[in-house]
Amino acid sequence: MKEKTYVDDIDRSLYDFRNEDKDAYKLEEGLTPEIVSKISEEKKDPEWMKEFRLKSLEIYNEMEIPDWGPSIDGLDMDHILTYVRPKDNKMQNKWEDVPEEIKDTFTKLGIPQAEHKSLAGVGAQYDSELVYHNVKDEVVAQGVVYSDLESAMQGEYGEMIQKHFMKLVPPKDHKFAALHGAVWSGGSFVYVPPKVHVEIPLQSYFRLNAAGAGQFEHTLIIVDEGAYLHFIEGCSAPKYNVANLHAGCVELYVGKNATLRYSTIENWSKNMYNLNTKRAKVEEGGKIEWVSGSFGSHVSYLYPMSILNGANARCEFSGVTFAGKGQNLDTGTKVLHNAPNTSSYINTRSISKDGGISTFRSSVVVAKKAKGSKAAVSCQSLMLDDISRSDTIPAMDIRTKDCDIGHEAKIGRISDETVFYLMSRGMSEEDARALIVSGFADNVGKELPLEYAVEMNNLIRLEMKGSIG
Amino acid sequence: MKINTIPSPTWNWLQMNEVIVLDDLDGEEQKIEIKENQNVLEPLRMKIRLEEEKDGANGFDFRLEPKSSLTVIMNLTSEIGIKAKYLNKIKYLCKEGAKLTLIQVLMAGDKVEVFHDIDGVCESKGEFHLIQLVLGGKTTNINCQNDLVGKEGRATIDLGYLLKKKEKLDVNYVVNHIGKKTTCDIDVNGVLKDEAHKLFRGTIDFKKGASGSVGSEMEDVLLMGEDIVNQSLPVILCSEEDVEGNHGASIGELNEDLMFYMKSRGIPEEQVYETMARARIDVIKNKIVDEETRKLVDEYLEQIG
Repeated sequence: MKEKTYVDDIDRSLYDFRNEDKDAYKLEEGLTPEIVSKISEEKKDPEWMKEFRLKSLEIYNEMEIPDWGPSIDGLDMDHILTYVRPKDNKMQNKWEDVPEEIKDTFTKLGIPQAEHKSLAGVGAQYDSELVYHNVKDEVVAQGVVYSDLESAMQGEYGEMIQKHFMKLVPPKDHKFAALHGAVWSGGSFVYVPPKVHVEIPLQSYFRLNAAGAGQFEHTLIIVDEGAYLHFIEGCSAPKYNVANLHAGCVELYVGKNATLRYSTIENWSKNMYNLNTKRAKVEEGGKIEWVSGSFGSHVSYLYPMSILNGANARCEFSGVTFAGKGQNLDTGTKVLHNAPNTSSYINTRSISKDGGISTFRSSVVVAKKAKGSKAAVSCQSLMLDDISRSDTIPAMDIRTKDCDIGHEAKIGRISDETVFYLMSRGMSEEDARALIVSGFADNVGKELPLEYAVEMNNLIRLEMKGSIG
Repeated sequence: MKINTIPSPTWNWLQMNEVIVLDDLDGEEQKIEIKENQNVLEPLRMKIRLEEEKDGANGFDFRLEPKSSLTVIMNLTSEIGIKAKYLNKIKYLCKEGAKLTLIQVLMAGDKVEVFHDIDGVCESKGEFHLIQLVLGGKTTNINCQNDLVGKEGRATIDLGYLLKKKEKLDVNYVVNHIGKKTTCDIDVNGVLKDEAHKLFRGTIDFKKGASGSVGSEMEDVLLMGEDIVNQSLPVILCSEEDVEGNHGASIGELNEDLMFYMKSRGIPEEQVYETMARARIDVIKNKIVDEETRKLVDEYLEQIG
């Protein structure tokens, strides 16, 4: 008789510390025109943005919640704090000037250390506000702009931001895009000038500390013609007994022959509703590379979308999702081939254990004008026990004959033979299973910078800790 | 009314979760029971010929007692140029070790609307084999729900289609693996010409407790028309650890290497396409053991060119 594997829940002590937020400034719970107007005042928005927020709120009130994904019944918008400003908040560009408690938070998460070792610039957001932003002088000297979105909007890039803000993800896209449009706060703006190659990555890290709060940061990146950038996004939060919400928005504009790599290791706490929207538009000869690891959250709806808008534009998506106890992670990607000779390659892995539910959901749409386009989708799912669930729901909509579309999916469990082989080489069963799962997720691990790949493998090892045959 | 509803819906904007048809038709249901250990050697043939403005509907309830077997062949044709609707509902039960083979060949004209609705259960070692060839019809909707409730129950579905002009095919296959060591194979081969539109949904659902089960679905679509629409939604749902599920799809024009090879042998491109399109239909047609039906299909394909 086969023996079952029991898997412990993740040891989240690394991420699960919290600070008192009694001195933080908070707007009242809920969502009304008054609250939205107050946020607008807090942010010193230009007039167009205030109008945009109020219009988005109207759209939010008109739209229905999705009827096709995981339940979000536990999310009560009347009790979500849409704006929390940390005590003594003022954005700094030196870590020593950041309030002690917040600085300690990011130090525990390893952000200043990572900045020192391997990053060209860092933005750190705490609740609704950025608390730290800095970029290396040599990157600034290349003409690269990396700042918080709000101050960039007030300065020389205001017009550029107005031209691009929520144009890829309009508020009417879905209910939580409309919510974002109404209450967004914080986030980063990056502009990479033509032909500039940013050698080392930039990173933004989002930390949500306040209980029952939402985080609605907006990331806007414009990589101009022939330029290159690798941007890393990280996020975490301590666990509370009340629901937290993340409804961020990422808009990426990849210019002609430019390349943008956007990497994310998402590790929100397991009371988080992660309803994030990410979208990239890629012009002729450009390339977007998504590297996405989803480990946290109670419920996730996350499908980075690539709009291949110019001839020969390309997209690669490498994703891994690990759903454990109490998690329902609905992740995947969307690609629109909207120009000739575009290509996309999607390679994902899903792992479910301890009652977790993981769903891979995708759409590949090839428009009539996208002649000569190619798409390949590969999704694999691993079930680690018989109380979990794993679904794959890939859709394809092809409107031209002149294309080549391939799709493959596989679902199964860890092979007993492989575990036996590794154990015969002296490994414990727990280590053998952890190694197999790490290898299974290697499609993402090998695409990440070393430090982040190590962090991802640590997360997998922690998830697998306690596996016994 | 909504039909062909997928068990696990996806984004509504894709418009693939179900299809809406305007009306239902009433028809009589016939019960057909095959006794235990009875193997009906001669296929049960049903020839349905639609006439102008005469909508048709009928239903069959097949009940196969243990270790019995039956093959049913349904040929649907219509008079040239007529406008009609046809609804066919089939229920089946394959008890222990029983096998039902259902062959449906649709050769209707381009103003005929058809809805085939199949719903059945396979008990222990019960087997259901569905072979469908869709070679015409203005709109063809197919819904087929199969519950493999008994140990080692099996469902095999083979679909071949050749759609041209503005013909539309909407398919929804669902196989629920409930019993242990159940198996399903879904094999779809098709050709889209002109402005044809096809939506294929195939769901393999491994329920908790279906340990040792294996499910596979494959789709191969040859695109030949400038204005075709091909939609595919191959879904695997899984609540059981000890299963194997696979699906694959290959959609597009002919492989460049194959085309080069064939052209280098002096075969014109157009003829290569016609040959390869025919080959896709033949893959499914050749699974029909009844020679008479295969001949009928060949004649029809010659006729429509």
